[in-house]
Amino acid sequence: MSRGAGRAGVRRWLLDLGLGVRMSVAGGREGWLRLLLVGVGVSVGVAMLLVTAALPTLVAERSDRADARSFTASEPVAAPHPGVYVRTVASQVGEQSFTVVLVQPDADDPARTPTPPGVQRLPRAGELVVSPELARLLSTVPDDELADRWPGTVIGTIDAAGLTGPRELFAYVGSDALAQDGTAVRIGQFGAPGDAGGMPPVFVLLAVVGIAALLLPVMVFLAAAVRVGGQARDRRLAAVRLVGADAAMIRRIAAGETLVGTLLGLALGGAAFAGAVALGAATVPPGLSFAVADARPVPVLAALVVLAVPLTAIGVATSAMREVVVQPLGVVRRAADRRRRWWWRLAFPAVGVALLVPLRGALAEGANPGSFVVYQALLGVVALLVGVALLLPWAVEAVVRRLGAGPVPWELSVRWLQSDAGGATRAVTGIAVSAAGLLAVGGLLAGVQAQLDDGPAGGFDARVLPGASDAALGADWPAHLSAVDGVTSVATLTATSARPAAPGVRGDDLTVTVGTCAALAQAIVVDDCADGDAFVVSGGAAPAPGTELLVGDPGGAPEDTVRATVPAGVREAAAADVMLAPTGLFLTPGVLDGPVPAIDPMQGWTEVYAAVDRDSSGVIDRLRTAVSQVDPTADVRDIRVTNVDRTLGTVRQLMLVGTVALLAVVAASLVVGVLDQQRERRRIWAVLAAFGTPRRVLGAAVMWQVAIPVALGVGLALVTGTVLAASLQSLVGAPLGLNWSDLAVIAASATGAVALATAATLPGLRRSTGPHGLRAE
Amino acid sequence: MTASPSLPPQAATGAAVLLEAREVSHRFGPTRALDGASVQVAAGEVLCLMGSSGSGKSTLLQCLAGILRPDGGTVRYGGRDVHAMSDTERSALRRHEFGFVFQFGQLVPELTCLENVALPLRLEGVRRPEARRRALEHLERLGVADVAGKRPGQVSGGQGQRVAVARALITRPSVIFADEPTGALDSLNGERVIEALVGAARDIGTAVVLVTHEARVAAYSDREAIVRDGRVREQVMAS
Amino acid sequence: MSASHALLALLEQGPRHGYDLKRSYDERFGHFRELRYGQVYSTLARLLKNGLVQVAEEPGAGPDRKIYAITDAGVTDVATWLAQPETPEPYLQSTLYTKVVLALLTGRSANEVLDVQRSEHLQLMRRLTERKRTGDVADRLVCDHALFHLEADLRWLELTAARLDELAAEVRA
Repeated sequence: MSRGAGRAGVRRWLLDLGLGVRMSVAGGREGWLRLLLVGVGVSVGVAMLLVTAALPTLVAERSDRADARSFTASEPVAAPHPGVYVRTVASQVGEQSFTVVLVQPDADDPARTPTPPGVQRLPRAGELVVSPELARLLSTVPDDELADRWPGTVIGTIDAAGLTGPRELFAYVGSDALAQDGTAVRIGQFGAPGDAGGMPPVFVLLAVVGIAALLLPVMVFLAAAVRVGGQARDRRLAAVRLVGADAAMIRRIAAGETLVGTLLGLALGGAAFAGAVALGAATVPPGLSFAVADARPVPVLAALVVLAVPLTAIGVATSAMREVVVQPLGVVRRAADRRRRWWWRLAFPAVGVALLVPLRGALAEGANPGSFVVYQALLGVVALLVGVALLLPWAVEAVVRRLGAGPVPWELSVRWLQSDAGGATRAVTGIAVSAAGLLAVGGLLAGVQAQLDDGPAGGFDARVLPGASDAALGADWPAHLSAVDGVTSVATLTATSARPAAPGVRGDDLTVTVGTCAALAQAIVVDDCADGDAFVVSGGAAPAPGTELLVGDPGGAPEDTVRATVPAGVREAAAADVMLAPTGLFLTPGVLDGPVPAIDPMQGWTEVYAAVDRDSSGVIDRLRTAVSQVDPTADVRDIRVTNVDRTLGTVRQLMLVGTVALLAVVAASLVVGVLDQQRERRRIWAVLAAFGTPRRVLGAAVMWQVAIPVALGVGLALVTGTVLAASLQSLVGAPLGLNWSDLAVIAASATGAVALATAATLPGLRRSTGPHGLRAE
Repeated sequence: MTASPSLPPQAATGAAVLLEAREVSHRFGPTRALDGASVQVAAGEVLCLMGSSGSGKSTLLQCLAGILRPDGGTVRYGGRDVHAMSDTERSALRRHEFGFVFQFGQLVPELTCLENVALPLRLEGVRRPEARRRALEHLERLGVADVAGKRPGQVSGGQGQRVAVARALITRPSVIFADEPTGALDSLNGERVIEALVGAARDIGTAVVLVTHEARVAAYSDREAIVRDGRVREQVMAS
Repeated sequence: MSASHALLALLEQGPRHGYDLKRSYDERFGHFRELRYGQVYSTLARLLKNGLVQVAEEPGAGPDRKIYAITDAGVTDVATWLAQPETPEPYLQSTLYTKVVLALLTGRSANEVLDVQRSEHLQLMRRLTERKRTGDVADRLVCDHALFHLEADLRWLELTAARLDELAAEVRA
């Protein structure tokens, strides 16, 4: 009696595992198909996990290279120590923004001049060293849109070591004006360690939520994939149990069965990961480009994936065995199905809400977030998303139980769902969690964008912020810019200080901003403005009408100032953008006796606005070129396209990529789930067809069977996603709002997935309702 | 004249009681399947449980075999309470002492017939070549050696049931439980199967508990016990 | 089949005239065989002689005016007869049918009849099955034939017993 009983040795374990393996690869065509389904399902999950595991390395490699060429302004180095003047300039061509570094190396000792990585020799005035991709653009884009910005010859290209990614746009441009430029700094070396521009917490939050929203559905999908063929497996293992396998043996056999599919999935997943990396390296925008070698999964994380995926798969499979373990073959009559309880499933969302609510406004402008804010938010988000996954089975069951009569296909599918909604629900939980996650991320994104919006465009298309060089200050911008083909009008806004002209009158220095009405509209809200008007910001005090002011540099010579007389009727005006907090007087040129004097960059600023003919292609780039020719350090922005759109543009692109990947995963899981169900039910379909049910009725029944859980999942996701988005939006202090375009995308994808899943079953339906459908197994 | 259900039916005279159910009750939801059923099985005898459908005979068989735990009453095998054992012990019991032949769906579809027959031995730890050799022996004895390499889905009903009989016998059990073993078969195949089962069982002294509603199958048994309304009717002794 | 038991059992329901008795018998069992008046009276006479039946005289009547009633001994006799199994043989339906009906008429359980008869049938079937095992082909054919018929008997019995209520209502109407 005790032969084989007692402690199971290693041989026993291997035996049982081996039996499980044997059973999973047997079973002819059916068995291979099931194995393939499991393998594909697991591989998708593994690939995504590996991608996530590679992200830290990727980010670290790129940021290391960025650090190696960066510099800080904190410790300028004086002559005679060897150094180089540098100044970073933001530039853009088409939709791609990039950075260019102006350099002015010491003329006397080129050998000892600090050189950034990847560069043989720093360029002198009239020379450039460019990245390969920029070199390509220089030769393909019309000169007046790009190359003429930095007149000169290209003396070399930057190596991979000097670029964050092989397709990055970057350049070092030689200059001889930096030494006099107050904004340039003289550095002794390239490579400032550490913080290469820490991301604002908001973006960290975005990234973290995005990853969570991606990974959770993957885990759900993984769990669903492993349970493919569950019904058949239950019967098979029940038969083995009857013959005398005890609970532990059955679990080991089940583990062995799962093992093959999981290993297959690991192998396929590794290949998919390599493919995804190659594809990504070739297709991401240049700003995000990376070398394939950079995307190495962190070894610890990769090991974790290789271990965790099979273990999780086995865990899921054995937990699904519970019923079989208790009741071996023979007991077909089941007691009334246990009702799923709902109260413990609410715990997760409740915890999530409890974590998120106190964080209201924690990351808003001006708030002082603690270091745990992001972690707490992440936990709250994860808890809410997991809550969706847990609530869905209960919700499906509760709703389906109450569904009633309708046309025949509807009734068929409702009854099917009522008897066992498990399979359909599992496949759909992935949709629900990912939809909720997408809504949350999309909502957060929209909120952040609304918050960081740049201020009104007011009729102009571009804004030029000149640098601090003499060339910039002395330039006649309107003349230069009007000459650009496609520019329709140019206006300047100059801010400087003014004091009362009358000698002896003590008065505080005022801030005075001068510009045409169109230009003034960039700063303050003016309904009715004519040349000669003057305004003051609401709440500010204007000097008495008739007061004579000296506008210009207070410490400078009298010829650097111009007189102005405060007119009667100075009107109050509200600020156009509260964020900019304008103060002081706003004058039209007519108030001044003469042209605005040159300003000291330490005392005031100038902004130039240009309106362009949008139909003229490349006009903005030509504008940039023209600006660059006068002042290479000037910053040109396209203000129709808000600043944040650019910054968030990459985040948007990432999210788009993530969304597409996610929806593909979800659609795949739905198809796999439906195909699996179809295999297990084909006998019933054959019988139904045999007594005359038309195929379209069966097809419609399949569609309903998929559509009902999907609709419930999307519905639940909408609620959760909106709640999540709202809490995240309030977290960053952004206005709350529904993102209709995201909802539309989700609704459309859900419909598409249902259609796809139904279509996928049609060939199988055709086959099983044909003449061979009723053959006994 | 009416039977008094409280007296447990007598086993065949002189033989030791191997397996016994006492006052076993079980309900599925609101339906009462067994209501104080008692029966004894002697070593080596072929006992037939007869009754109409819904009478509870299959349920009684499952309780006797230790597959279904009854709500009330005890089942004793060799004096030990079967349902008080741990799952490991009960599984060991099924491996060593019991054999099963059911009407459908008992062979593992993914394994070949030979592997199915060898399965109980493999679960015991017998090495593969030895298990396969013994399995082939049994298949030959039952006249179905030619289907050894095929899968259960590829053989006819009668062949499949004989494979199941081979599997039930391979561990030389003390009791074989057969629930409608010929139910899905025609007369000739059914006869082959029940002859094989009872013949082989008698050869090695295995008891058989047989559930059937067919009298000609019941004719292979030593005695019958009528199950009606969840109880076992007192058996009438052969006059 | 001897008519005496049938008549006796009918009398257990209550005393009757000989004429009534024959009519009653014909209604229920007449399709099996005709019963002549003479047979009725001679059977009754024999029963009377054996003490299973007694006569209640009706004044001023002929032989067909006598009222016959069953005695205690008669009741016991009927009970014993019903409790005994019949020797199984093919074409036993008439006897079995009669027995079941009579059992119902006299308020006894049809299940009992079924169970008792089944046991007996199975014993014979067991012997036949054993003979099949050791015999030659001809033996097997003969045994199979008998076995099938015996099984048919049993199946019919089971079906009949399952129609208890319907039959009871119909017979007692």
